[in-house]
Amino acid sequence: MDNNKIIFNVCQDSEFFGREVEIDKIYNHATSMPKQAYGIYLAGKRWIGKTELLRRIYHRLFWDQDKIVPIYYRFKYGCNIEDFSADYIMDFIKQYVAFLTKRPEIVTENISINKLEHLLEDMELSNISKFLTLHREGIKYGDKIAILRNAISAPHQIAVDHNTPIFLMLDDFNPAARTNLYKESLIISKEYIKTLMSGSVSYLITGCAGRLFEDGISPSSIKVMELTGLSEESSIRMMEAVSERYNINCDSEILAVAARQLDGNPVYIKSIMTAAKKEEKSLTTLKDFVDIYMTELTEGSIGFSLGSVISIKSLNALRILRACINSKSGVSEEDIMEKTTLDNDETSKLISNLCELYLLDADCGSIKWIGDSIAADYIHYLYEKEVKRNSLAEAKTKIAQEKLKEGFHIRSIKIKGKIKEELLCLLKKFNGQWIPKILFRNQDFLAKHNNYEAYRKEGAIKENDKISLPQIVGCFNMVGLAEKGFSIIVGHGFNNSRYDDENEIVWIVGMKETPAVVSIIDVERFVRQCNIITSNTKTTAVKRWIIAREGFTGEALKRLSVEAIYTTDAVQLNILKNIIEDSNAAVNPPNDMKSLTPLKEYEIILPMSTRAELVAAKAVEEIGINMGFDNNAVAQIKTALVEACINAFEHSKVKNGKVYCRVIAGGDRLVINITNQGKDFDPTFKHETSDVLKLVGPSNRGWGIELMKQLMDEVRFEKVHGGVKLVMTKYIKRNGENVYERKS
Amino acid sequence: MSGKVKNFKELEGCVVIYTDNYLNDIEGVKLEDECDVFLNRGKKKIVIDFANTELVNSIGISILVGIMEKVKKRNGILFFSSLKKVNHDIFNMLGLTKHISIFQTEEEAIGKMLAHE
Repeated sequence: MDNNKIIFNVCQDSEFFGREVEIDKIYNHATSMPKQAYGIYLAGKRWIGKTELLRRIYHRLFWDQDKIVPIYYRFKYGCNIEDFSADYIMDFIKQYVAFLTKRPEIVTENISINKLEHLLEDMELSNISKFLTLHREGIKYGDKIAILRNAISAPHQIAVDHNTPIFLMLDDFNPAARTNLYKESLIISKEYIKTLMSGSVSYLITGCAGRLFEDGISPSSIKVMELTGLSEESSIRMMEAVSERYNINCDSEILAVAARQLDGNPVYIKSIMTAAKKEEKSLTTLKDFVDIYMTELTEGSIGFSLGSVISIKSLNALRILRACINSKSGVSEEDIMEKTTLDNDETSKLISNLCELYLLDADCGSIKWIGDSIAADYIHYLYEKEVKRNSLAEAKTKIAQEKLKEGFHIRSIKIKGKIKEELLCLLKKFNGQWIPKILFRNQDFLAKHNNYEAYRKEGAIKENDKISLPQIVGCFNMVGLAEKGFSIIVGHGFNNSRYDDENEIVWIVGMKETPAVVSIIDVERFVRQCNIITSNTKTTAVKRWIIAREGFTGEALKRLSVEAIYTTDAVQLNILKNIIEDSNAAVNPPNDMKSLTPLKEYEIILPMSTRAELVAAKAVEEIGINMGFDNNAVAQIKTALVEACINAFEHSKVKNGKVYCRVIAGGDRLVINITNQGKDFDPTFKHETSDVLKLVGPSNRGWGIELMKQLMDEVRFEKVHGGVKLVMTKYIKRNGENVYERKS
Repeated sequence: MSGKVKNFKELEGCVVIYTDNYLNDIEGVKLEDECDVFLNRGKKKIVIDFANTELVNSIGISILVGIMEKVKKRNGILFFSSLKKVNHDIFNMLGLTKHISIFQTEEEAIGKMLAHE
């Protein structure tokens, strides 16, 4: 949003996610001008984003239309009648005049009551001035009720007198009605409800409680709209946007767990990301998140904010809260009395106070926890510290363990679906490719390469010991044989592209779905299951394979080796997937003609330094010339590669990161893959290339993508874990013709 | 000026600037600075010779666009010469060739430049 258009403070647009539907709904309600004015009660937990939503709707109503006058007012705690009335009448008149004149400064600048009166006089709106005059008179004679009624009725009378529809947005109305700390608040809200019920204006009120307060409002005149946390997708998008701005290294799986554990609450999400930036920590593991979360909850801004609104004055209050949190169905007053040894009156009073804090809800004798899960963690922490008298470190450790277990469970559910889907997809791509054997032998892989980087540097090119994959005809999930945390997929196919009995083969693949290592028990179970499957199949050739995201225990590996069962962990699987995808792209000509020339693969790792891209360009020049590309084609490939590299440098999220170039020379074509350690390339940028002079500034990086597309025969972007891979292909043209007819 | 372009040749009527092997952001800025110096000294006829330039990237091209606009604003004349085929094709793809005269050789560019009133 344009800064000049901001009237009430809102967060940056780049940090606002996932509320489009609600904004549209309320905006449409406000502008539809129903014959019978009615209200909306927007209920949502604390800090869920109600105020932000209302202010954005206000801005939209202020700037995008000129029929409905938007009025936004936020109730303040503890105001007496005089203060509230003065504040409200001034706010209302300023916003009304600002909207009519489209001069936001009337709201944002601190205009005195005298100046406002002059302004109304100039605009010949003396019938509005009368509300200010009546307010003054009420103050003079000390008639509180008169000044309150004058203030509250002003929007309604003006709407009727001027025939100007008004949409009132009353923020934090519910707390204003419920607080018993300031007796006058109750009078204010009762008067207000009476006026709202007159039906002269449309309105929206917000509150924390799920249920509407008891007295005065007719349920048929108000719609209840619940504002929940951001969806997981919106929360992740928000976290990714913030992490990009703060340069925080993140893993999308961990962000998904964080989104769930923070209830999609934008304030908590922002606090966690800010803390990560401040502490210079990444969010790549579950422990990273839980560490930051615990510090925020106990010593950081989340703890401070919760402490300021949840004022717990007794150990019995903590006992009651904990009992309610731990009971899903709620607890009775009798149960509470047993736990606290309080008498009936004391218990009722304490419960009532906790209800006022929007932590509990007492309904039909059952008392339930209604706070969010972060507040629940905060209560657990206070309980450990204050009631159990544990040290800060002990209390933190206990909560952290619980959070880790909870996060682990959430992650397991996600991984389960993802890995199975990926594997089914991968098996379908098995098509006679030659793959380094080491990718199916976890023990050898670990001994030789240790990790992905080491494999890239040391072994990938030299690896000669290869196995041929079968051509998989079909694969399916053996649901009947699956046991907890362990799935089995069976793929049927043929070896050596020969479709006869001798070459028929079955691949039985076991998958550890949970993020835990494969143990000897898992192996024994898998062997038994394989025996059942093979006894039911005519095929004699069987290949058994276990995939474990987190690896294998030593004992399990020994047994697997004896059984000649293939073993692959997440790193190996990733490399295998890349090889299969790359070979599918490079080996299979689009018109099914297969090149007999063996593939040659080259890998170049570039540091992010000036002119590093020239190293890759030089290498590809040599490769291109050897393959038989003409000089101009080589120059085109080099230029495209240079563009791809600088694009990858530019979009890398990691300081001092690296760019990986993989060059595959495959007979009639050269395929170049570029990946970086960071965010995506920007493949969507498009513009007309016909007149570059219309574009200004050296930052027009979209030309790079356009250039690559013009210089190479195929350019595509593929989503890979942690970013995007750019794949460019150039075909050798002989006598001005393509070797193969390619699809356009 | 942030740095020096490898080479230039000052003639009586015009100046020829020779670009580096790789025209990227750094070399582009150097080239722009060099052009600024000559323009400030009243030399308004400039030939940029790309005989040595094998590779040009998009940032380098953006800077060239900036130079073209700058020379035009100062009522100067700018010619390009000796472009490799790939670079000529790129300039063509991006529409630069509509806005600037490109000659096969430096001599041809100088000849045209000196003949230009």
